[in-house]
Amino acid sequence: MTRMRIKSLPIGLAEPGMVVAREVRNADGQVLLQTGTTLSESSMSALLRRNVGHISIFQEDTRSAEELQAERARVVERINHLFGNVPQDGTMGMLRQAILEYRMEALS
Amino acid sequence: MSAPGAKKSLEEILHAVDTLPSLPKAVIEIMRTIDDPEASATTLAKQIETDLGLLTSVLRLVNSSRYTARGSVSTASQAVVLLGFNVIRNLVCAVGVADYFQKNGASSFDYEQFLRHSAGVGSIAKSLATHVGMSPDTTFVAGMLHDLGQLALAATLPDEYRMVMDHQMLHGCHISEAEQAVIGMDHSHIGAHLARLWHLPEEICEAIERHHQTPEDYAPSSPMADLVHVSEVLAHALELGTSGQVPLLSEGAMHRIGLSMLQIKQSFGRIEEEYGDILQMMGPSGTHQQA
Repeated sequence: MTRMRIKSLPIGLAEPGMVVAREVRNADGQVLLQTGTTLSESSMSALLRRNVGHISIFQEDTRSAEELQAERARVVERINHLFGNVPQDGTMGMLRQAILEYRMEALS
Repeated sequence: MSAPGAKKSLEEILHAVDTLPSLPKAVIEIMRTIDDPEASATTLAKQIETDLGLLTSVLRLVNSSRYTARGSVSTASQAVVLLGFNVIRNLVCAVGVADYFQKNGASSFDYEQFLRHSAGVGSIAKSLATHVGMSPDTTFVAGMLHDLGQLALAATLPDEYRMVMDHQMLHGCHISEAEQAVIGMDHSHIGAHLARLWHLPEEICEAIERHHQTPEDYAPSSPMADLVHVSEVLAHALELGTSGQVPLLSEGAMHRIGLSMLQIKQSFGRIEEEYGDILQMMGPSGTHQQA
């Protein structure tokens, strides 16, 4: 099965056929495109007209299982360093966990 | 005047900071009226036209590949009509601040990293603003300018500021502690002093002044200062233009503005997109090391 990853890119670099990985909203928070929508020429022009800058799309993940494993280890090490000076429990523990889960989602 | 190497008095520092050039008049005027419902598209276009550098930056951006569907835009009024009032206003603030930072950065100061960090905090504050019922435009400006005092100190006291950075590296402490130890005051007060001198809205000045409050200084704060504080911590956690360790997040600040960890986590993706947008707006120095 093909594994997918989420990539954020400027709308100018998006192409028809790409699939939206995170709902696109305008400046007022109104949803313009739902997650899972396939981009078309017309939807891309509509986003440009509404001044959407960056969007997130799904992209095939060509990294091997070993590369992903190494990347996950690197992320954990980096987060341990970043949060090395603060308490590991309470609010800081929750923030650390939220960042870890967010980074791991991109590597699952 | 103090002898070289002697610690300068508070008055001497403030006097030196007062001589710094201000942000362009047009940018200050737009920031002052950022929440004014009477502010109009025509006024905004006129304000941009008074500043040739700003006008050039705005036209360069609106004619860039990001907006290719637009065709050629040659006046500020066209830019406002085509791209919308809010987009152009945000753009002017981002471009105005970036240009100002670039022109006034001291040689001892990593201006590009500073700009990316400011953009990081600005984009987080903007992304979280709607969750806590604040204006995304105002919180963006507060976030962009929150460390203004660092730039001002580095520009007016370059030798001392080099010592501040050495002190920080040697002791692994927070920049504010290093500033206190070497100069005797920290950047948040200098930044707020400058913002007040320019007559920026008081809530932005307060946010600049109080963004480093730790959980121990619960003292009466302002909602915008709380949001900028949370945004600064998140910029470190998401590594948006920062390289240092994550500072302590004030639980009190999150409670006061009614922000939950779940809301924060659900905003990470949007925040990174917003950050990408803002770096692109700020031009080559912003996008240079984005990847």
